[in-house]
Amino acid sequence: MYRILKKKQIIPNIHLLVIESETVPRNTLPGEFVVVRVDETGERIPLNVVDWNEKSVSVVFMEVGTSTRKLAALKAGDELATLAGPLGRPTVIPENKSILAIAGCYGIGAIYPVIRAFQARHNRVTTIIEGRTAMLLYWQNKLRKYSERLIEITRDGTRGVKGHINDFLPEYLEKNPTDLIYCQGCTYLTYLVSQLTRPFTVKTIVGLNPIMIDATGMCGVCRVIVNNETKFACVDGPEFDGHQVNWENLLSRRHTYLEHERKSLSFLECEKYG
Amino acid sequence: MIKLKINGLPVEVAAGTTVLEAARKMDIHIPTLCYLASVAPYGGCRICLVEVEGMPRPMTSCTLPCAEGMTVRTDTEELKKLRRFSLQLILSEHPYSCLICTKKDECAKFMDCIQKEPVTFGCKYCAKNGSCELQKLVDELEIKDVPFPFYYRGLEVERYDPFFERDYNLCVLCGRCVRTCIETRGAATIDFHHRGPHTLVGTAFNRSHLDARCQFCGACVDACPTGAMAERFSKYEGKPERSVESHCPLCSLGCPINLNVRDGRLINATPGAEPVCARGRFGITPIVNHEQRIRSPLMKKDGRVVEVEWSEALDYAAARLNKIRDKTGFLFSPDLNREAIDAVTGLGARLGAGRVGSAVSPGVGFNPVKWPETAHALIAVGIDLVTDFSVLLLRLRTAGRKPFPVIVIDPVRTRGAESADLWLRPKPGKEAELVNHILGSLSERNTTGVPAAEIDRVKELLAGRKAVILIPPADSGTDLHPENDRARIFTLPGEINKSYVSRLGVVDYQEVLADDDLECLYLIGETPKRDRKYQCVIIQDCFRPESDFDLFLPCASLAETDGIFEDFAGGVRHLHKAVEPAGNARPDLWILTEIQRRITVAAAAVKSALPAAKPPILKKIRPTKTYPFHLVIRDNYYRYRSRLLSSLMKGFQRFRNDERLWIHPQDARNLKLADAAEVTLQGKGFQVKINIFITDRVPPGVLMAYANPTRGLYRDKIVRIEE
Repeated sequence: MYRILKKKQIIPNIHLLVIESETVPRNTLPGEFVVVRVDETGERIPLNVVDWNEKSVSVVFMEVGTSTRKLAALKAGDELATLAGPLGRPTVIPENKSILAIAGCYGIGAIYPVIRAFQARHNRVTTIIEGRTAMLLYWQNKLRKYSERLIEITRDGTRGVKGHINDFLPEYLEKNPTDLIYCQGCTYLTYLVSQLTRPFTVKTIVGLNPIMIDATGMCGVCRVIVNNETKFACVDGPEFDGHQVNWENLLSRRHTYLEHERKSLSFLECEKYG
Repeated sequence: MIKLKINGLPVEVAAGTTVLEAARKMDIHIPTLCYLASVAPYGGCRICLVEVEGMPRPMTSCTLPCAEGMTVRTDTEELKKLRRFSLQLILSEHPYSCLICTKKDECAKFMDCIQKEPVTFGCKYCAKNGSCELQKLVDELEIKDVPFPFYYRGLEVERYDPFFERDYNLCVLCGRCVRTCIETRGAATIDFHHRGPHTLVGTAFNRSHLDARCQFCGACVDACPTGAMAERFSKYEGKPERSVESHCPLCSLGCPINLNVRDGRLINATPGAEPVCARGRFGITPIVNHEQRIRSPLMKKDGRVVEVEWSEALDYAAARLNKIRDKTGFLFSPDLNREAIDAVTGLGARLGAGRVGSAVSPGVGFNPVKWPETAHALIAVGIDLVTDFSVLLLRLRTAGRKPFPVIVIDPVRTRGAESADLWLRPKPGKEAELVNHILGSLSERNTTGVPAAEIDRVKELLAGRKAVILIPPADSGTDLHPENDRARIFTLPGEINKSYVSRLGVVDYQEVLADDDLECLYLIGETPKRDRKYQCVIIQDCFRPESDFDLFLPCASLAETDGIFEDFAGGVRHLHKAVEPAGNARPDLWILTEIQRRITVAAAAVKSALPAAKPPILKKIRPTKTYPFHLVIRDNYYRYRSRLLSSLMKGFQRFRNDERLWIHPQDARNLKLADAAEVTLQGKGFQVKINIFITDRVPPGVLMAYANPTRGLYRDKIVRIEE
């Protein structure tokens, strides 16, 4: 059993969970993830590690279904049934490069350990975080510490640049020569960034989030098509070259169980509240 | 008639018509937000502004009555600007980022998952996405920007009530829910509270809806133009693709409903032409989509229950029936549609089975008076007009146009009793006597326990009015005269088809269960407690029963088959198929016909008619020393076939507490019982284990439980309580 040391709702729908563990943080590298289960019969949930120390690992997750709803209902002191990790391949950290990190929603947490590692290897990091409105952005101070420049984009202009990433990114890339783009967030953001950077031939690394079950390369549920080859996001990824990802395939695979996911959530809530 | 001109076109309307109504009559579109045709105009949103010649400033067309010679313009540039400004102000308090996003169409196909998030932050998160009136208005008024800072109220989503939840962060204060609750339903559970920028919709003293005595009819949810109020069960389903008109068969009123379907799944049921109650609005979808639905025939083989194919199941059923023949007893629920009921009685007759039974109550089939449609005064005897038949009361109120007094006669303080003009509390079993005293047809001593002064008050209230008296079927066996010059007595059957079943001449199901000769039981939608073993038990239902069976045939539920049923007044209502039956389930009629086809009984053995109905005789009961409590059994109209709605959806359990035994606090104290404690009810040849619910709604010495044949709770009894 893995005790929860801290549980906090950072912004509506997005939560931070600090889980007690000595073995997992010992081996964790930036870009890796863990798999947690809320209870013994629970679904396995893969979550990006956003921070760690000797005694604990932290994850940031978004409430989007039955299992994450159960996870969000936990409090400090409660216990998780299982915690497996670190899993996946760590981010490849270059040296002395100019890097642009882009993140939205739970990805804002996920890029934090990666930009920390980028900066440690003397890369020049610019960070863009985006959201619908100012109150959906978080961790600005933490990110600012490891980036030369932090740019905030909100759709309604309540903070920083007003608009969408597509209004801003092409212009930015024209003015600022960039060696690498690193993007974490929802499938729409990663897709959009990959499309926007394609004309600039800047290498774009995106973190993918396909449906995943065992996370050790056995079941094959998390398969994605990259450069016309089938890859497993759990053992070959989860980070891939965004220009080589088959997005159509990823999207349709992510939607496979949508009806079941909705039904399951309806029953969970009706059982809980009536 | 009044003559006026709208956009240069002449129109003639009746006095009192508003400019908005006149424009709609001419197919001139004026955008609105707070306007709802079923309630009084409010003029709150300022979207429906029009210019009237001679008036110094634009007026709200929904509140402006037409006047002779008026010249109205509805589409000037100035008006568009004003409407846009009003909507922008409204949007500044509503998460609007998705509404004005330039990428909203593209992100739709990526963002299906965030619709399942608990807090709504934009259209993609929202239950109303696609059917939201703000979205339509933003498109229509071409709003590209909101120049005001976004104010998020930061309120917690109210999830603690059954059936629907409320996120007042999305509320635009149009007041449609408030006005609907007050004007259409007469309930006034919600209203505005606080003032100015702090104004919000809610209950008095911020109690939960459950505590505020909400009826959970869902009218507010349907009135809401935004996603501020959302049905919990269908919240994540998205916009319906099509809608099928049908009728709700969950009680005898048979209200029209629309079954909304998406991707071949029923997502919710919304009211049709008339209002509905909690059953129709929130009960139908969980029944149809329930996880516990059985999707394939089940058969007992070597002591284990296994799934089998339909052909094997039907052959097995037919083989057993061919062998056992007239020693088969049939029991069916009146919730079946009429075609299926005819098929059951036909199959029974074919087999020569002497026993075909259902829930028959004395007198139901022979209502000698017609349903009056209107009333000058209403007396409800042992009937809860608020929880069980709120729509009936609404229909009478709308049909009559004139307010009429409602008098409730009930030993139990129901919600109907609380909201009545006068509530009389007789001793249980004395209701009929009290009615006769009120009508003045009894000169005997008053033993009802109601003081003469109260009876005189009723007489005063009724002075000069002919009352409609509603009685439950169980009381109709008494000596009440159905029609006289002072009152019209109408037996109100709570379930559909009840009078049809009574007219068919089937027997009461207790008689079938009491027949010792029977070797096989075929139960269709009814699984009463059985006191002995049978050679073969076949059950046909939607849900797996608690009791044992040899064969289980899964049948289609209320939205999965076509058919007709009879309502309380003898009218015919239609059921229409909206979705395919769950899994491998089949309609009742199909199953029964397939079995009938396989029956090989020779024609000579067929009996032409079923034996005539013998209504059970009601014995007058009085508590004794051994059995000190009078157990009142109320018919439960919150059920579908053999299952209580509360066993299918927790909301009904919280709303009604209908699986518990209601006991007065004083009695509970004397017996040293804590709330929810399990007790054994012991009567003559009767024993039931049940959890208690301590409430002062029942008088001391009286216990109340809702009828539940599965547990053996049928009719009033005298009992004692053992721990």
